[in-house]
Amino acid sequence: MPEGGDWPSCVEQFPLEKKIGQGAFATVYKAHCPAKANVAVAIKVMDLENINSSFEDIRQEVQMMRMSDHPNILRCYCSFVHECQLWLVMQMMEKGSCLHVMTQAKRMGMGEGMREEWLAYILKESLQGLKYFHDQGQIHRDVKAGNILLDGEGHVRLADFGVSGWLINSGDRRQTTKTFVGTPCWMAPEVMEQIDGYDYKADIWSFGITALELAKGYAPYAHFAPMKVLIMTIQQEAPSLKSYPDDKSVDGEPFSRGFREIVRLCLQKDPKKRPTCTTLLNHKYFGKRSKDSLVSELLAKVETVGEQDVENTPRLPGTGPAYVSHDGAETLRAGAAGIARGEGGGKGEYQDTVKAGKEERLADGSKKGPAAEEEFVRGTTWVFDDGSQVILRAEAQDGKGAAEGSEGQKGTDGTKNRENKGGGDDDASFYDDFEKLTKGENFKDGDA
Amino acid sequence: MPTGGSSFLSSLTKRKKSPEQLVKLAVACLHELPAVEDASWTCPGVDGTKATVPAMDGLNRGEPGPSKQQKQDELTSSRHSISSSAPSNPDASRTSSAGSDAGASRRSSFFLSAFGKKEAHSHDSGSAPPPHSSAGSSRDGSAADASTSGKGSVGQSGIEGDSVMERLAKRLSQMKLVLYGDGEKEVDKDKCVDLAENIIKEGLMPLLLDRFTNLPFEARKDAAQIFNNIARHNHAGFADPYIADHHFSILEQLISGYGHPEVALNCGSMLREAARHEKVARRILFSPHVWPFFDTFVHLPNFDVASDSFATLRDLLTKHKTVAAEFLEEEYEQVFDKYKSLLASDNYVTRRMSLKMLGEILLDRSNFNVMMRYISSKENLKMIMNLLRDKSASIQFEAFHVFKVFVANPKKPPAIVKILVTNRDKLVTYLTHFHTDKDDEQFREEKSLLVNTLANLDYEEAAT
Repeated sequence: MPEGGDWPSCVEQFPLEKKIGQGAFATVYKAHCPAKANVAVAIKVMDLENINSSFEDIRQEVQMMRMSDHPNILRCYCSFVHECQLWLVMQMMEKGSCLHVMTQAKRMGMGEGMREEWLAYILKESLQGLKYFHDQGQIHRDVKAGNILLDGEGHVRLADFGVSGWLINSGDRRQTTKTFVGTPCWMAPEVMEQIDGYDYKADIWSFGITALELAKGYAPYAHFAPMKVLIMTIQQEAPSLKSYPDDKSVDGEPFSRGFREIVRLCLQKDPKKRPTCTTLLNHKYFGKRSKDSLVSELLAKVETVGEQDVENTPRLPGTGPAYVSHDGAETLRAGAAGIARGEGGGKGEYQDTVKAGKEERLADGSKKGPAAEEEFVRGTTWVFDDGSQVILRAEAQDGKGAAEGSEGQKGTDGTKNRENKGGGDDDASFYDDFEKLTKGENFKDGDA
Repeated sequence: MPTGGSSFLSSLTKRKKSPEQLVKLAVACLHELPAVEDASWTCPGVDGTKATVPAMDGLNRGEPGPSKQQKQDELTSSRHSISSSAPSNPDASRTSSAGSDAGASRRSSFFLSAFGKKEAHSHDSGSAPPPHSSAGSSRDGSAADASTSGKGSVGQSGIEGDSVMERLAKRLSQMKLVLYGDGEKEVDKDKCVDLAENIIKEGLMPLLLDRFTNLPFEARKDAAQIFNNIARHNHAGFADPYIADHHFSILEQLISGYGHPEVALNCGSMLREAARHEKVARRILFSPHVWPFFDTFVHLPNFDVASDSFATLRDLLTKHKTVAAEFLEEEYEQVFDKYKSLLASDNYVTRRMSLKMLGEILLDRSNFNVMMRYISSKENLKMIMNLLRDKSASIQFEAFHVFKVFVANPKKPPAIVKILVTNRDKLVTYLTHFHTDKDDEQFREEKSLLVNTLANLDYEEAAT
C-alpha cells in the first residue's frame, strides 16, 4: 500500500485547519500532519451515525482507495475512527476539483468551461486513472468534473469512490452490476434503465459527459430536474456540443474534430459500441498533451481550496447525487410518473431532500443522538442490584419522572436516593450515584 | 534478449506460455527472492503501541531461519497444547491438523516431484535450466539458500534485463489474465483448472506468501486475485482439500497478514474467499488462530484493517451455520468473554458492528442453544441494557434487537426477571419513546410487544 503503515491513526496527529468541502454526511478539511514532515492532507470526516450507506459499503470505499496506487488516482493514506466519525486521510489536491476550478475561473471573468488544450490534458490523465480502475475490475460509477482533482502542478487525480463497485469483487469478474447509483447528468442510459445491468462502459459514457462538462462548464442536462434528466437521457439522442446554446469553446474557438470525435464515441447509447479506455487512449487526440498552459494560465490564477466559502457554490438541479438502492427501478418509475404530472414537483422534492440532509448536518455538526451532551440517555439509570422492593418502587417512579422531565431531574433522582441512605436498601442509590460518577460505566462491582 | 539463447526460459519468452510454464517461471523467480524474515511479525496493539500479535508468536512465523519442518513442529506442538486445553475439539479439526503436517512435508516433495516431471516435460529445452537447479537447492525457500541461489540465477537466466520482481509480476499478471480474461473473451475453464493444478503442484502460494510483504503492490494484488479465483471455483481442489486438509499453514500466513497493514487487505480478501468453503472455515474456527481476531485485529486503530478483519470474523461466524454453531457452543465461554471487549470497545465502529453481529448470531435458528445460554446471563443483560442507552441512536437500535430476546424469552431465569422488574417502569417509559421516528412496522410491533411483556412482568415471578 502506498506509504502505508507509517501514518499515525489518531485525531491528535491531524489538527484540522480549514473546511474545504461539504457533503451530506461528510465534511472535508485541510490539515497538516506533523508526524509526516508536515505534509498537507485532505481529511474526509464521515458522520457514521447519520450516514445512509452501510458500513460494508464504506469499508469497500476505503479499501478501494487503499488498494489503488496510480498517479491518476487519489490516495488514501490512512483511516481511523474517532467517536462516531470515520476519518479518511487523503492526498491534498490544493486546487480542488475541475468543477471548483471552473467555478473560480467563471467568477474571475474567465468565462465558462475550459480551453481545449487544458481539458484535453485533463481528460487524458483522467482516462489513465480510469483505465487503472477498469484493469482492476472496478467501475468508478461517478466520473464527473467534480471528482477530478487538480493540484498546483497540474497533477490530475480521480477521486470519490463512494459509489464505485467492484466488478472483480473476489474470485470472479462479475459481468454486470445492478445497483443504481451515480449522478443523473452523468449517468449512462443503461444504468438508468436497469434492464441488463451495466459494466465498464457506463464509465465511458460518464467520461463523455465529463468532456462536455469541461468544455462548456456544465453537463448537458444540468439545468433540468433529475427526473427530467433521466427521461431525456433514455429517450432523446445522445447529448453533444449541439445540446448547448452555442458550440464554441470559452475562447470563442470551435472545438477540434478530435474532441467531437471523442465525445461522439463515448456518448453512444449502445454500450457495446463505446470504446474501452485503452482504445480511447490510443486515439490520436490523446497523443502528446502538455499541462504547461493549464498550470500557468489557469491553475496559477485560481485560489487554492479553502480560501473561499465552500457553501457558496450553487448546485445545478441535475447535478446532485442519486443514491437509490436495488429497488431503484421502482423508484425511478414512480419518479418518472411524477414528472409526467408536473416537473416542478419532482424538482422541488428532490432539491428539498438534498438540502434537508445538508442543513441538518450543518445545523448540528456534532449531532450524535438524542442526548449528545450526556454519556447516556435520560431516564435510563438502570438498577441492577437486589435491593428491597420498597425503595425500588420509589426509584422506578423517580425514574419515570426523570424520563419525562428535564435533565435536571436526574439530579433530583440522585439526591433523593442519597436521602434514603442508611437503610439496607440503599444499594440502588449507590449504584445510581456510582453510575453518575463513572458516567455510566460498568456495573460489574454491583453484582457481588 | 537473453544471452543464453538456447536456454529453456528464453525459448519460452517467445511464445504464449502454458499455465504450467507460467507457474514454473513464477516459482523460479520466487526462489531467487529471499523469504521474509519473520521475527518481527508484529502489529500495532490496541493501545497504539507496538505489540506482538498474540498467538502468532512462535506459533506461526517463529524465529528467523527455522526450516519449514521445524516451524510445523512448533505449530503442531502448540496446537496440541491448545487442543488439550479444549478437549472437546471436534475430530475434524484434529485430524486435519495432522493432515497439515503431512502436507508440509508434502510441499517440498511436491516441489521435487515437479522437478522430476519437468525433466520429462521440458521437451523444448535441451538441458536442465539453471533456475530450476538453483530452485532445487533452495527447496524450502529458506532465506539463505534463496538469496545465494538468487544471485546465481539472476545472472544466468536474466530475461530481457528485467529484475526478478518485474518478471514475477509479469507472470502473475499473465496468470490473472488466464483466470479472469480481459473482459472481452470467454475464460477457458480447462486452462484455469490446469493453472490451479500447477499452482498446487509447484507450491506457488506458500512461496508467494513467504515473500508477500516484499512483493510490489500490484503483484500482491494480482497474487490475491489469482488465489481468490481458484479458491472461489475450487479449481483442482485448491481450497478443499488442498488448503483445508493439507496446507493450513497458508491460512496461518494469511491470518498473520493482519499484523501488516501493507498486506492486510490482500490477505483478508484471500481468507474470506477460502473460508467460503466450509471445511476451511472449520479449520480456522477450531484453531488458536481465531482468537487474535477477537483480541487484536478488530481492535486495530487502522479502520481499513480492523474493518476488514471484522468482515472476515463475521463471515466465519455467520456463513456456515452448522460449523459456526458448533464453534460457538464449544467455545462459548471464551467467545463471549472476548465478545464483551468488543461490545465495550471505545471504538464506535467496533461497538456497533459487534452488537449488530451479536443480534444476528443470537437470532439465527442454528444458534438456539447459544442464544438460550446468552440470554440467561444477567451479566449479558446488564451489558445490553447499558448499550440500549448508549448516546448513539444507531447503537441503541442494535441493542434493542438483542434486548428484545432477553424479554421475549418465555423461560426467563429469576435473575433476569428481577432486573427487568426492577427497571420495569423506566424501561416501559424509555421504550415507549424509543426511536418513534422509525417507519418500520415490524420494529413498532416488537416494541409494543416488549412494552406489554415488561408491563405484565410479575415481580412474584422473579421471587420464585
